[in-house]
Amino acid sequence: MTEREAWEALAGVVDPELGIDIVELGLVYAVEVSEHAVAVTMTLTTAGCPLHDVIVEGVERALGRPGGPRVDVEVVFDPPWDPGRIGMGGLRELGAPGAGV
Amino acid sequence: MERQGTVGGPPWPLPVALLAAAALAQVAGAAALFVAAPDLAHGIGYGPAQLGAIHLLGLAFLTVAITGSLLQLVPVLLRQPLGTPIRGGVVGTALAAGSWALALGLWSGRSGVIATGGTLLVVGGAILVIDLALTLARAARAGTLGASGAGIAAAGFWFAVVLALGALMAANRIHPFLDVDRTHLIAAHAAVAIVGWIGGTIVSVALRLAPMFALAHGYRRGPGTAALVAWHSSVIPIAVGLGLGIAPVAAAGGALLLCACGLAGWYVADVARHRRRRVEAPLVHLVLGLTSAAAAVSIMLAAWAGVGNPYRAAIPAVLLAVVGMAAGITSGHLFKVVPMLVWTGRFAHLAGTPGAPRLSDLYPTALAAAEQIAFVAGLALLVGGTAAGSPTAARAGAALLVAAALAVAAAVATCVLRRPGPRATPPDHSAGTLSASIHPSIHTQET
Repeated sequence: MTEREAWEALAGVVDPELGIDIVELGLVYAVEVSEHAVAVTMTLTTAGCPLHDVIVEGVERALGRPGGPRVDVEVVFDPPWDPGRIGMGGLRELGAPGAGV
Repeated sequence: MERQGTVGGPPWPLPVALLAAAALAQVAGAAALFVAAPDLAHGIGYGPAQLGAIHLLGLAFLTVAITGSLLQLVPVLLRQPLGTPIRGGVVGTALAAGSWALALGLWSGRSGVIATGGTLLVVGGAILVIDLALTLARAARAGTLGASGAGIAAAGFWFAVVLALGALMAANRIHPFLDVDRTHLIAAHAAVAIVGWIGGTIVSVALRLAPMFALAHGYRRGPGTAALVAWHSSVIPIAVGLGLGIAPVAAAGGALLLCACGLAGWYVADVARHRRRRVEAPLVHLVLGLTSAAAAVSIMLAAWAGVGNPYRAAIPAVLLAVVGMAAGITSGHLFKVVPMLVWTGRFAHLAGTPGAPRLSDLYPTALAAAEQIAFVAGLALLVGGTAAGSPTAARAGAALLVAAALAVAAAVATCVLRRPGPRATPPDHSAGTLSASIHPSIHTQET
């Protein structure tokens, strides 16, 4: 798996409550691909997010391949996430004030 | 493959079943208000239908809904489980059955039914209070209590007081032994129940959830914490003042409660100003609810200051507090909490796969909009009609509230029964998302 493929796969993981993929949301901080592992450093919108496990398992499911590299997901809250990390397309879909149509 | 609602939470059908039962009770409570509306408009606040309505709404709807919500939310808020799923089921069943029995017993005047309902409520309530206390103690040791936990602790204490007062009053109704003014005792019981247990819990949880649901950051947290402190601090002077018939003491508590409403409103306004998504039902009802609470307190403060009769003023004030604040905020959150529970239980295992259903597929947008319209119009007519002495307006308002309650129940049913299929196309938010994600250095948030 290449880094490009990993990012493409992560763009298919949608936050179920917000309906926006986690890359557009700015939740993914880093992706490192090696021969044996795909390491994802990411965060969540809030530390007490009730969908924590769901999203992390979604990432593992999206990146996992039979016989492929191990998937390591690390959830961090430093630096903390803020809505400024959401892409403009995501903001429009959320109906954020000032995001336009 | 289905899974628990959240880490440490009970199997999702349990809280959903309680919330569904609560939604049906709201329909029954609103229907009871329809029956009681003419009496309310004529200034008769105490009667069989009125008792039935207030207990269907306060117990069978609100207390059962709060219980179902606590089973789900306490693990999220405090990172500690609340009891066990079996105990949760026992508590929910006892509270739901006891609520209906008590309400129907009070309406029909049947002592045996009242006693049965009261017993079930005490048993279920005692287990809940004990489990809550143990969970809060664990959270305190783990350092995860926070302001929300402290608010829930206070609300749990009030629930214990409400149960004790209610049990005393029910027993006294069957075999009179209390040498106290019954009207004052009822007023104190209602105050602790509405302001302390129901209002305290709802406001604690709603203020915590508001920024999460609104995707808000950068708002000021201080007013929210101050609001909770002021809210719970107001319960004792209000209850003592009403219980002993000392209006200035009750008024002092009322003034404190009004401050709490103002602080909470300030906090919610700041959250709304910093939101990054469109407004949904929980925020709409939270604003309406705080406004209703402030209006209720203002009416009573004016009455104690000599504007109108306090006993007459208490009717629209209680309606604003129970229906406008408590029922309204709870209904608004049902539109969000139930879809989240059902989705997590049924579709979480599809997360990360192409075409996985989203929460929005379960969110009943049209019903939520219809409910808000019917609720606001119904509340205005009911409260206005009782204040103005118009049975026709009061009944029309109650009818609209029945419609609003039916919309909530329909939304819950739709959410549980709907089985959305896989999405046909992957999500598309335009603006070059995919190319930006491939090259994170040129992602919009990096520029």
